[in-house]
Amino acid sequence: MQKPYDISTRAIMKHLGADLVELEDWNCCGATFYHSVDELQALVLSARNLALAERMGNNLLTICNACYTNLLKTNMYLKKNANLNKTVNEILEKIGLSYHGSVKVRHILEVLVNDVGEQSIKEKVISPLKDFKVAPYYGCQIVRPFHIFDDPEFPTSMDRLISWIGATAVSYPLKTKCCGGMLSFLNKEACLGLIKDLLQSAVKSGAECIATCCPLCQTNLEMFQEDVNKKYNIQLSIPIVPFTQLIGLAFGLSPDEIGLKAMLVPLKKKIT
Amino acid sequence: MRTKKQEGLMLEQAFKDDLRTILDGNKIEACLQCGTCTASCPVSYLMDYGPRKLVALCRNGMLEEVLRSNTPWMCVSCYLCTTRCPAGIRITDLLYEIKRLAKKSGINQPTNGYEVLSEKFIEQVEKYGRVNEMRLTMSLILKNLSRMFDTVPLGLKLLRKGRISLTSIIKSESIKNIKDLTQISERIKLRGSG
Repeated sequence: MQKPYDISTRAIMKHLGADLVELEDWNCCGATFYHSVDELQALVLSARNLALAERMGNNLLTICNACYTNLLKTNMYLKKNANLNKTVNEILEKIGLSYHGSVKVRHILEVLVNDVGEQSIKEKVISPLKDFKVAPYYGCQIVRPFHIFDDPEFPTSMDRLISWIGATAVSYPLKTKCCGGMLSFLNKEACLGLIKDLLQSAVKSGAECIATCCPLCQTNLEMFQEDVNKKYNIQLSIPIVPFTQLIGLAFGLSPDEIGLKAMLVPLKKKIT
Repeated sequence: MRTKKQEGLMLEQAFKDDLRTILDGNKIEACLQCGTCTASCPVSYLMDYGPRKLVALCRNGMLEEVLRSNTPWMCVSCYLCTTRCPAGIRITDLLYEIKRLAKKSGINQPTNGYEVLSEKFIEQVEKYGRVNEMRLTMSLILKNLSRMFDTVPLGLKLLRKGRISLTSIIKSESIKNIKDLTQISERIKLRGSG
């Protein structure tokens, strides 16, 4: 479902000369579900991924806000609680692994803004997205509870990135308001209200698309637009794209390379 | 046979113990009842108590009310309450803890399907090591067939766009070392019962 986010991330990183290596045999971190059942198991699942990365001698890059929070949480808990660290490592030992806490957990947005940086990105831009208005949508868990690289309520890093590729980031108040997350599976009606507020707020501010940095946010905002229209008797039709696709476009990559044709609401012709 | 009162006391003790182990758990004592949490919550209107009242109930030892509450099951894990709490209470983590305890006690059955989704999601992780959204959706539809018709139009659109594929349901590829995850589960179960 999130192939466009995946391939556009790989494409732009390759274009920037960054060497991404897929973590071999990674497992799902369990999102929020294991925390509701067994905290230790939730931590061990993320610790396995961290241990695999440590064995490879690499830091861990994720494009998902929930993975990001789970991995950061595991790193922090293991550092702060020696007993827990011991228990987790005893379990890891049974599967031939160990974790010593050396892996840094990074989100793709943070890496692009802070490591790659303004100059390197601007250098690669060959077709700037001029006169194109974008609503940056951060979601929750990229800045909460851990606000490592940006403000927990009014982050600006994606806004800056959008300006580096020639587009304009619009200002709107809901950029870290929750999209409902997993609630879209459980209580779709309630979730539609949250999604409607978000979409309308972005549209009112003049945005021609919403850029996301989390697979679940992207899914919720994109997939349920028609349900929102039906329920509230409105006509919203705004493209919801992973922010990496916009960077790919500005870099002059082809629509196929960044999965553009797979999006439900296509971007306007003027930029594609 | 344990009496109801004894069972209640055991639960209370388990809760107190757990609060000591979750990070900053004992900070609920510092709650000001300011209501910033409930006011910040995007889904508080779905909740019977909301986080502020729930913290008050916890503090006053009204554990049964806490465990019967729908509040933790509605939480979307956006962490806005946690970020804004002036007393530094990790409310989202407290709600996770209440869900764990509710499960242990057998008191609360969530009404919004959380249990089913959680069970199916975890099943996917344990079986394959990863979650395939097609398989997950199918298993949820099988649990509640009435939803099937809702999902058909969107499903067809996604198929046309190549966003989902039918073969991924049949192909049951798991990660290479799926036995790692089985081992992890077993170890944790052993600890729980020991």
